Amino acid sequence: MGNGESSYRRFLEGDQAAFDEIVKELYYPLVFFIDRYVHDIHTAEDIAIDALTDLVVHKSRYNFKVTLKTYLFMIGRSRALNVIKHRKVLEMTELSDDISDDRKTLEETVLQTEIQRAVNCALAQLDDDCRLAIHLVYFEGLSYKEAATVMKKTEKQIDNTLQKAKARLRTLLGKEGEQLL
Amino acid sequence: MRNFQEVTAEVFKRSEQRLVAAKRRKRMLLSFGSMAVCVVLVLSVWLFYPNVDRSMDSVDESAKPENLESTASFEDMADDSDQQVRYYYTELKIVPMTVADEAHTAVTEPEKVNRIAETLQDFFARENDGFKGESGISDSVKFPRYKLIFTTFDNAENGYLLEGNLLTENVSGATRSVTLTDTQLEELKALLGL
Repeated sequence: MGNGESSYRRFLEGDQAAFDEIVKELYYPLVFFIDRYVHDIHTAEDIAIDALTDLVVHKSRYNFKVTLKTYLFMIGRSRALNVIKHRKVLEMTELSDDISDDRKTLEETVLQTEIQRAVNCALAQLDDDCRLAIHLVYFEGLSYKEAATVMKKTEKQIDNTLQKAKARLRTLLGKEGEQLL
Repeated sequence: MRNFQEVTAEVFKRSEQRLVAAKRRKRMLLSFGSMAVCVVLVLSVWLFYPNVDRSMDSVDESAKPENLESTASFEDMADDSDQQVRYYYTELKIVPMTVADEAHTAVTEPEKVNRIAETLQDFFARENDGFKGESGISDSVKFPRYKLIFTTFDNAENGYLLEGNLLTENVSGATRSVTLTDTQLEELKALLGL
């Protein structure tokens, strides 16, 4: 069993060290995913920590029917949307060097190949749904079904979104990009 | 970006805080809940019991006939061992049965009607106690027959037949008779105005 479920089972049985494994495996991808919504690394980190805290506080909520990664991404998405909803004024701040460095570090951690980084740059020009679908399926390796669960859409909708995203990326990345997808 | 140790430490710190907050919320909810239950109980006691008293009073008021003169006589009648005397009479019709054309006489004063009814019941009670009448039905020839019809406050009727010294009661199909003494007969005649 992958994606942290076995670690979480061990954590539930009292193995505190198992939680470190979950953090190591899922923290950065979770922050990176949440950052797609909130566009702020620090807020994304805060939300990711909150999502992980949910695992500790509400131990019976996760029923192992989906992967732990999917579950955490669902919580992350929900909390991110909540933060966006309650963010009264969009704070327009200069991108400081720190934040920029943090994002670079995060991207380098999560996106391990040049190709992924190239796609990531192109994603900025896609709409939110396309960006998130590409992120979940191609960067995080989730199945269509898992991506649909996280985004609260049907598999068909995910498929359509990905088709649209791919067509757009083909234009943006050229033939090289087409090979990536 | 935080490192993994910081993240884990932060997660456990927040989880502790959340658990403490949840416990506090639970305690508050429990205390508030029990307080709410107490308030509801006190309010219901405060509201319900006076209502019961009031409703009991209103039931009592509605149960009493308007023309009942005194509560005492009602209670006397209710407490009477003879369970058939339960009515409050509002009218008495005295119908002579010997002269066909003679119109009946009506007594409409409740006090008088009830006094007559009590007297009649008294005659039956004394008979039950072992009293034996001195005169028989033979006197009926000398004395005309009268039908006494009592009307209760709820428009039920109780009938008595006075035939000479013989007084017969007919309540709901059940009949019983008593032979009156001459004194009783005189007393009754005086009451009836015969």
